[in-house]
Amino acid sequence: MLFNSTVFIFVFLPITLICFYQIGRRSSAQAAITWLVAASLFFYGWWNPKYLGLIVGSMLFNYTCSIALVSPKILSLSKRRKGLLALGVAGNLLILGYFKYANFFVDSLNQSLHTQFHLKTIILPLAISFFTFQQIAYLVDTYHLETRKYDFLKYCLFVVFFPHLIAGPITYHKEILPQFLTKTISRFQSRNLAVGLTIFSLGLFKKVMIADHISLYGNLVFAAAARGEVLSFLEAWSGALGYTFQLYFDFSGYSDMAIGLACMFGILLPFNFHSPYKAASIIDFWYRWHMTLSRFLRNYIYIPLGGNRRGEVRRYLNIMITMLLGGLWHGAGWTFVLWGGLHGLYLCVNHLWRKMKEKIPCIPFCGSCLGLWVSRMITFFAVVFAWVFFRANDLSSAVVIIKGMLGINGIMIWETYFEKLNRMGGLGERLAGMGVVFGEPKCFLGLEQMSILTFLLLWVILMPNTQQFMARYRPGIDIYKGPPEIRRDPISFYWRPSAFWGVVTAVMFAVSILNLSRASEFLYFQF
Amino acid sequence: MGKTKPDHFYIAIFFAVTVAVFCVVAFVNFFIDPYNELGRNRIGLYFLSDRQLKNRINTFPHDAVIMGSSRVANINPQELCGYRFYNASFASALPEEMYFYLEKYATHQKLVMIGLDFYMFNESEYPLSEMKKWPDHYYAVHEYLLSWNVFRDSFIALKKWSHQEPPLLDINGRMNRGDSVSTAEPVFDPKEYNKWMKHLREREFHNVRLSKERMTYLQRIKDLLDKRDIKHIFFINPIQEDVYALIKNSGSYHDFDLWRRILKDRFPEIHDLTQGRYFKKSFFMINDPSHYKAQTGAQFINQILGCPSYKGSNSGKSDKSS
Repeated sequence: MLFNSTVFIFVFLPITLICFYQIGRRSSAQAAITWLVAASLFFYGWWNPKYLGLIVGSMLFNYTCSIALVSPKILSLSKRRKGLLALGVAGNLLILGYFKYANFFVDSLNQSLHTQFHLKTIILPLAISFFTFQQIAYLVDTYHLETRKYDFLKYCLFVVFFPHLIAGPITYHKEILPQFLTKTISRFQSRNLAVGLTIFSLGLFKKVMIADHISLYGNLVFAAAARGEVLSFLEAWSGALGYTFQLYFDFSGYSDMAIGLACMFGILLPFNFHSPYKAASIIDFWYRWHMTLSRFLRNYIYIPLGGNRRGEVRRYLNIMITMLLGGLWHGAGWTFVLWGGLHGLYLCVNHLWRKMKEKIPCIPFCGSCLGLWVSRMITFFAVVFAWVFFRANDLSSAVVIIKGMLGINGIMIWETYFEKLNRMGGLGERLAGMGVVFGEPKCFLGLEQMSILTFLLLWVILMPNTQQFMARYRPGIDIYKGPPEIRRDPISFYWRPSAFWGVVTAVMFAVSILNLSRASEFLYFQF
Repeated sequence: MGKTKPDHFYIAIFFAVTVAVFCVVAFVNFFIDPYNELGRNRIGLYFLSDRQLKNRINTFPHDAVIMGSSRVANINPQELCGYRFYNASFASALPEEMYFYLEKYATHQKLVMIGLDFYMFNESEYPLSEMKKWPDHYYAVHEYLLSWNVFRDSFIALKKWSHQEPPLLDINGRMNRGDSVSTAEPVFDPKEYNKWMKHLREREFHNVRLSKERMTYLQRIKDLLDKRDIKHIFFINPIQEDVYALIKNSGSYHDFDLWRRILKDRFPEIHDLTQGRYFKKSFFMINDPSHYKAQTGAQFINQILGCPSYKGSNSGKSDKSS
């Protein structure tokens, strides 16, 4: 069931919400939680009931391991505890490895060694990467005695709570489980509904009205690249930028919807994005993009590997390992590995630059407004380049697009613009003289596309993000740990429960629903 | 997050506005019904969402069906001899779509005529449809009533209807394209003409990968009609001289030739009109070299049917308005 489907919005959500509060009012909080677990499992099973066994089995396995890790008998035996933790983590990784990477591994083996091993296609169970990571984190924290004893039901809700089950945010037990223990958990509060509806509508609008509408730009270009067609400069950039914005609005829209939904149930989830395209460096970008994943990678891979505690060389090695694994987490394909590697490289360069800056303090424009915008621009374009590898079907398609973006295949503009440009002091002729071709680029849709992309660029760099917009009501957990904002955003406004915002939100919601007609999947469902 | 009055007010406004917007949109979509999905359309069909509109076949009494792409869609069934035809063609029709359509609707007819084009078999530019059966409806009712596109098209339909523009689809399934509707002789527009030539060069005769599966679908159509005792005639649509020259000079001539030979091998009774008398520009639309004129279509269909001098139905009944 998709958040952006009518069956979810008009049937599943109202029933689940009304029953949750009714059960909580008439019975007990425990009964309401039981209902929520059942509803979440139903939500998961809607996709394919066959995999309900997998998620329930996974929860049973991890819960048993966590109970064993803190049982009084074993508490003093550190080797046994370590072994138990290793068993738990290995169990999770084996399941993930089988479902997500077995085909990839066999295909890669066959390609590199020219062998003929055959493995039937394994269908990737929905959300497996998310619930596996979440439970590994729980096990590790239990090993470090950082968890309290929770009953199985609450543990289940922590894992399967439907707003975050499919594509995150990846939550920590210490953020979520204590909220289930509060006595007011199933008590209806109109503020929660008002705030939740607003954030949900905002997310739905981002997904349906922006991400889905611009998906064509990226799809056209990446499909042409997969066919091996030559792409001119504008075509390649329109595809790369189109995908850059599509991914952001799609995933941040999904995260907003998840946070809004949880808020309706009185649960706060961590925010997942903090205006990533405003980042002034790659380090900053990773503080802002998919924050719950980067936090997981930092806390459970990078730091256990030694982080920056074992010298410079080891630090860069740890960064590369972490980012390569982060890339692989997104999908079983070499393009994802390459994307992760590229970001690892970016991060190393960024750290080296920081070190250099400490030694040479008088680098021009550093710290100035101009310097900030130059840094933002460089970061943005580096990220766009990397997204090409992330989205491309294979390496050769990515190379086709990169070549286009670098202008190797020349620049082509719609021939209808020739006369228009010529009227502007013979600009058309001059451009033609400079080698610009006036023709009919197949994958570039012209001025309208350029205007939309420019508008979206201005949106992502000037507008406040959801948590800033809703700042007065704290609808989620702020986990942003990056550098504090240096300057206020040029445009800032705040939501409050007024008639004006009621109308605006309702119109956004209604327009999104009217444009649903065919629900499309969220991009991050595939990870 | 305490309980306060503004929140109740906010929620009430939110739901009131949402419900109001939904009601207005649903009301308009229900009464205008621009795609006739609910069977309530009274003002005429102004949209070329022709696939779904062809589900109206059973509302028009007929004993023969003519089918193909937009080229065939122009042909006026009233001008065809011997049978009362329904024109079930739709733009960019593919053999698998035609198969599923006929599987559903070819039940009682005496004759089915199918016009074929080269693009229909080029799987790289026109990928196989994932269709498993012909859909009854393209929208669920709630989806249709709460669709922004339908809402927008309702207003466009109303505007066209109020300007007394002829509907784009007659009740006999014939599509009214610009050239065939207008009474004035259109003026040659080289830009428009070249646009079509470019389209043909880049989509229909480019990057050709002949589809075996589509040939199988054609065979399945034949088997289906044989099984149901329905007479069938396949024909390859005429090609305009400039287009023929384009194919000759493009890298796809070999595939084009091979395609025709395969069709003739498999369906020996097929009528190949690619190089016949309908080759000349005068048989085609002046600004669109890929579409022949409606009269041309009627002319060669009547020739195939054995009544070349037939000039149209004398029944006096009009199949015009929808």
